[in-house]
Amino acid sequence: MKYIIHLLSIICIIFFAFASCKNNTKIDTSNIPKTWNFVKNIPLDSFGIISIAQAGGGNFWLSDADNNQLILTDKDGKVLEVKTGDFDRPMHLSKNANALLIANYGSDNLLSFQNGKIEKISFSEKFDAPSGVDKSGEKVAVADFYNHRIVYFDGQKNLTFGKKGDAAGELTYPTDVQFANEKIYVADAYNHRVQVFDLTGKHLQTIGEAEKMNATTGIFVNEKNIFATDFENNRILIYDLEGKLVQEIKDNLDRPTDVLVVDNQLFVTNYHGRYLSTFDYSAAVAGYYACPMNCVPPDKAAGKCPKCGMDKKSVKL
Amino acid sequence: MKKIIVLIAIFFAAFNLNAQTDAFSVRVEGLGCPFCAYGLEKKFKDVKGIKNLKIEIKSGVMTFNAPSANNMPLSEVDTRVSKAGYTAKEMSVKRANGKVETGNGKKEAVASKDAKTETFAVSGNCEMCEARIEKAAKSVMGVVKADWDVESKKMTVTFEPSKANVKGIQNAVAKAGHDNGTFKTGEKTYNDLPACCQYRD
Repeated sequence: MKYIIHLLSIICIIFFAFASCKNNTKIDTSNIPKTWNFVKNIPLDSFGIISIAQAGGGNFWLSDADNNQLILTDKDGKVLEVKTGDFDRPMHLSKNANALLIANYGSDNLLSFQNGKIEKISFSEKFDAPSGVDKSGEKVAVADFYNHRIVYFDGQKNLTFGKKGDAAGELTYPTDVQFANEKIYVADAYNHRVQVFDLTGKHLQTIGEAEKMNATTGIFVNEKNIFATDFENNRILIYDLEGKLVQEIKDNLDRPTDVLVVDNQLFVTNYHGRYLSTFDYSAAVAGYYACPMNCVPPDKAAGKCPKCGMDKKSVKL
Repeated sequence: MKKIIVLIAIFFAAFNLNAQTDAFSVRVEGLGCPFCAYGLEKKFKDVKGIKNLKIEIKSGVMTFNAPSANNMPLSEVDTRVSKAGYTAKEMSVKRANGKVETGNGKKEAVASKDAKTETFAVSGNCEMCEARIEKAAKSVMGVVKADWDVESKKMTVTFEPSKANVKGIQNAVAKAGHDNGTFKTGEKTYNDLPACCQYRD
């Protein structure tokens, strides 16, 4: 009987130790800062993709400048529709309400695609290779590539700002433009930087010069960050709104031209690589160590746990 | 009947003339992104009768056919490339009659019989480096020709010895950001190079 009780006790101890050990292996990553981490590349071999915009229903529109068409894909890259028409080297896209706006680079005009219809957007200013367009309410901004300026309809009248040069407020071949945070953000491609203007066209801020970008071809701005493509250096640079670099992504990219963030997922069009890269916003566990008993939150110090004395282990999710 | 035959002959002659094209090839310096490539294409779109325009972004080579009746000179190609914001480096055209013309975008000096040619190593990585290195060498008075090879990292210069020497050319190249056998680029100039051009480990 004694033996049976001993045996049962041993079994119980082993069971509870195993159960508690298993429970303790669940590492709490809530204190580990989140960053953008690579998820996968989605091949789009047949297309020369430049830009990406939301299409609704979790799908995306991509501009295929090489083949003068737009591609509708789902989030896994499955092609749902190929739209041809009056496209002549369609470059940057933007989504406004239900309309998709297209900078129709080769024909010096802007197009709107809505309810299956493509229409020209009338603008009294003449463009020379419009490369990017964005709309916010009644306001429209256009990156006018060869005129080195932004053409801007402020809701009442047309304005232009920027001229060829590299001083603050001057532009050299701008390629993308976006309204965000009551400001106008410009990819100043061949000054290798991002410039920020107020809604009257006054220069406010220059971002990214320290990182020595080489051809800043695309931008995406939300309420927290500015994302910029560094085409020749195969990088995505992510800044806070003050212009401080918060992350550099330099793997899995091949001549990126545009970025888009949707629901904590980052999408990057790779023109030379002919694929879409995706990243998610998650805890970056590389370089963190945790007590196997989860006594203290994970941190960057390897060695022994200060509470239980066990050897810390590299954190893996 | 005779008139009809003559008319048909004239029609076919005119048709044949239209069908005849000159084949152009031009290597463009500084062509990097699709915005550049399609910008260049745009500046050639209004060439009457232009066909088969293709641009290879990586090599910077543009090819197209234009009606031989236009007799489009290479100088016009050079002007259009300049308007697109780039520099035509090497141009050639094979005319419909088989005659081949070549040219450089910028008129280069002709080497005299006393001109010397020397080769030396210059550090660099890419085609942007190539453009910078060659531009620096050509900025030295007396330099007739400068070619830097991306693969071998060797620079070949032809110069008039009465006006230029190798050390002067190497100094100009180093000042532009590229180490060579004799001179080393200063830290600040090197650090100011675009990331893709920074060649030191």
